[in-house]
Amino acid sequence: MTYLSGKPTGILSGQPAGPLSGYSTWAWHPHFGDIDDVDLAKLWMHLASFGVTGPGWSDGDDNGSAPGKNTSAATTPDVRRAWLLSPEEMLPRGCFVASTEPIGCLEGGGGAGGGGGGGAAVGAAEEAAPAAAGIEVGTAAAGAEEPAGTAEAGAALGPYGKGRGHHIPAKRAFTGDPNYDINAALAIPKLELRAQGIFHPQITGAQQSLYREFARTGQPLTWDVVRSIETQALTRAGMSPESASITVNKAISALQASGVSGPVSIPWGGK
Amino acid sequence: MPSPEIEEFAKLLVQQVRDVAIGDCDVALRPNAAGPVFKRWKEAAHKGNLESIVGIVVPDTVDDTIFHLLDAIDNGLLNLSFTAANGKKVDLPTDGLGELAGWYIGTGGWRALYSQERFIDDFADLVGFFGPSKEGK
Repeated sequence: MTYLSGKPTGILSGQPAGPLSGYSTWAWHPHFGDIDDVDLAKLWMHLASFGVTGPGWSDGDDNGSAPGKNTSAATTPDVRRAWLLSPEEMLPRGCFVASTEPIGCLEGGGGAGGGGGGGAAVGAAEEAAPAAAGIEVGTAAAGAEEPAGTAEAGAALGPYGKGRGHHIPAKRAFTGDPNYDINAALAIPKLELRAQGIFHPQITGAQQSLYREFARTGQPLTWDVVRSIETQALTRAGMSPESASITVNKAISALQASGVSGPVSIPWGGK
Repeated sequence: MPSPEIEEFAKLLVQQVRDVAIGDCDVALRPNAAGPVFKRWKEAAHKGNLESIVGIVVPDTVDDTIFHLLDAIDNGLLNLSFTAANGKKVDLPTDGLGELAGWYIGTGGWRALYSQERFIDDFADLVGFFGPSKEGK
C-alpha cells in the first residue's frame, strides 16, 4: 500500500521538539500518554517508508493518474451502543441521568432538566445558533436545549438554521422547489452528530459518492433512491442501520409534509 | 485594527471552521465514536508511536477543517467569492451549488485530483455501486 508520498513539506522539519508536546490533549488521553517528544526532522525519514495495516484497512487503488496518494480505507462501520459519557463525566456537564440504558448527553449543556453545563470544547461556535431547538423531531423533548436521539428513534433532527449540522437529505436535491427552505429543512444538528459519535465529513463523502454514482445510471432520482442513499450514508458514517433508516424516514416525511413534491435534481449529478 | 467587516469574517472563520473542526475531532475521544475515521485513529493510537498517529490523524484533521470551510460556504455562512486567473469572479455559495464540501471529500474528488500529499479515501468502494455507468453510451 502506498500511503505516504515521502515528500517533506518543511512544516515539521527542523523543529527540535515535537509540536504535540505542548498540547495537554495528547498527554492526558490514555492512548496518547506515551507519546514522547521526538525529533520530527528525523521522523520524516521514517515516514517516507511508512505503511499502515490493520483491521479495517484495505489496500487502495493507487490512482496513477492522480498526483495525490490515495489510501482507500473502506471499512465496516464500527456500530455499537455505548455510554456517551461515563457517570463520572456526566454530572460536571450538567447531564440529567435517569436511565440504566446508554443515553445521549452533549457537552455544553444539559438536556431537559439539565441546567446547561460548561463544555468549553464545544463552546463558541454554538453561539451562532440559537440554543433552543424546540422544533426537533424524534426523541428530543420540545424546548430542550440539546438534541438527544436514540438508537430506537433515530437521531434528533432540527431545522438547519437552528443547530447547523448536516442536511438530511442532501439540500441540493430539493434546491429550487418553492417549498424547500435550506434553513428550515431538517438536519442532524452539529451537537447531535457529536453525541452520536459521527464524523460529519463521513456522511457527506458517502452522500457525494453515492449520488454521483447514481447520476451515472441515467435514472431519475426518486424518493426511494434518496431514502436508500441517505440511509447508507449515515450507516457508513457509523450510525446503526435501524437508527439511520428511522432518521432518514423522519426527514423525508417532514419534507413531504412541508409540500416538497420530490427531488428536483441529483446532487453532484452535474444537472 | 481590521475593519468591522474583516472582524466579522474572522469570527465566522474561527467559529464555523476552526472550532467546528476541533469539536468534530474531539468526538474521537468519546466512547461511542463511530465510523472508519475514528476507528483508524484509535488503531493508530494503540500502536503507541507518533509515526502512526501523525500519519493518519494529520491528513484526516486537515481534510476535516477544509471540509468545514467548504461546508460553511455551501450553507451560506461564509459568503465568499473567488476570482479566477482569467479574471472571472464566481460567487462560491451560489455557483458552487452547495456542493463544494462534497466535491472535496468524496471519492475521486478534489483531493484525488489535486493533492500531492497523502489522504485516505473512505469511499472508493462506492465506485460502480449502482452498476455500470451509462455515461458516454
